[in-house]
Amino acid sequence: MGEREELDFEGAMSRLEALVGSLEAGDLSLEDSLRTFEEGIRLVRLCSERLKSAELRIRQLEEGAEGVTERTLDVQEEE
Amino acid sequence: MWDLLEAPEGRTLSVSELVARLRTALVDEFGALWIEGEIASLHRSRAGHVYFDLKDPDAQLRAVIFRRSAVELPFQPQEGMQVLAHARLDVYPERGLLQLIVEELKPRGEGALRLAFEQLKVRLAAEGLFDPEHKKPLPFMPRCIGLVTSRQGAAIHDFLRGLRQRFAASEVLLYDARVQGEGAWREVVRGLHLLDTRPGVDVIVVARGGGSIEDLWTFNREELVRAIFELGTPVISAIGHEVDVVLTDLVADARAATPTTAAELVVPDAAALLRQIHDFERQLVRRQRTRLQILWHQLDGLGRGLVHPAQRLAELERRLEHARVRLANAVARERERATTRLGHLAQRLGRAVRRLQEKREAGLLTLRGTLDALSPLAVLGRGYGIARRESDGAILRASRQVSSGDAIHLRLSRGALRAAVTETLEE
Repeated sequence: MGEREELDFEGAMSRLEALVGSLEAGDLSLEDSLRTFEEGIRLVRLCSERLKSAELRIRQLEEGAEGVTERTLDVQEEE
Repeated sequence: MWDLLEAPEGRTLSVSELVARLRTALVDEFGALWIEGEIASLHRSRAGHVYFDLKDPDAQLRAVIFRRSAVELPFQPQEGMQVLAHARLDVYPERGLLQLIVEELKPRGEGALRLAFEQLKVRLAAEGLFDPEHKKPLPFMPRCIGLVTSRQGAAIHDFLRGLRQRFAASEVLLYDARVQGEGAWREVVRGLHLLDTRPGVDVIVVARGGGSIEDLWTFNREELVRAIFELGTPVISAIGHEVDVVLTDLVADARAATPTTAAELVVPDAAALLRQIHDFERQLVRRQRTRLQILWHQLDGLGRGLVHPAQRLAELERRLEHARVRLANAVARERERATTRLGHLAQRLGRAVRRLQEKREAGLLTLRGTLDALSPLAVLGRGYGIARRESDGAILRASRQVSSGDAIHLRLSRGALRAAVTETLEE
């Protein structure tokens, strides 16, 4: 499993929504609003990247003499 | 006529012998066999055995399922049901009946399968296996999607195509299992159990293309249904076409009408998410810009309130000058007032002094009268004189104050005398 699994996407989306909400409320100090804005933009970038990586990865579980193993499948092989 | 006493040619058998030989012959000839037929005249004994006739249009055989086997049946045999029986032939000696001892029974044909399906569904539903409260929530975005299906089937292509269209950045872990035929359910269950314990597998899809009820029967197997029920990972059942309902559809945490639409349950729509993210981004930027504009505006307002130090200094000087003028005026006024008061006071003092002098003069006049009465001079008028030592003017009250020859001054009522002491006399 690659690093792309580390992002809690749903959590990031909720956080993003909350950040927009708190900016909207407008009761943040200038410093806090800048921090909120920067965090929001960072999350936007992270989430977009996660969605845009267009590669579908397929592996197959196999049971053999050496137990259960995983083998990467060529996607074209399956299409 | 028959000769009743004449012994027949060949050997004579007892009934028991014949039945025993028949049983041996039957076992030798047939052994265990599969036999297909329709169930008729079914009844259950109080002991739990199931008796029925297995028949086809031209023949029928008595059959029994003993209690031990009957309880193992996944469905209840019914009259009119087409079945495949795993049985051996036997003779029931007491009645000389040929009968099938049935060990295993399978529904045969669509009607029987439907019936068996309904029975199993009712039984498992009664146990609560399909209850909504057992449904596990599906992950929003699975790290890895477990997939149990056949690599040879159509379902895998349909599912992957759906996945790629909806959320291309997916990760799939496949367990290649037969999805049809004898023992296929074991492979599916094995795949489920293996995937259930793989790290990162957040959801498992069981997929198979469409087919007849027999083709799909694997997914009505009680063992498979129970395995899905007990699995820790959420399971999506994507079996057959929309109209096909199998028991795994009912027990799974979610049911997809087809393998293609399963992707909609498994992953979010990446395009919709991207739109939402960009919407968030726009809002962030817009709100922040508004926020900064407001701040800028406020800053501008504050700036107008600010004063340059020189300006402030000039202002201070102006105020200082003002204060100085006021002070000078105040001082002048005060001085004037003081002078005036002083004048008044002087006048009052003068008046007071004058009054005092007048008073004193008046007093003095009175006093002089009194004094006059008491004055030694007045006494002198009566003929007394005041003698003083010439040297120091001391008034003489005793003769020893002077010596013979001392000059003395003698004050009289009118005029005075200077004299010399000629002699001092003791009293």
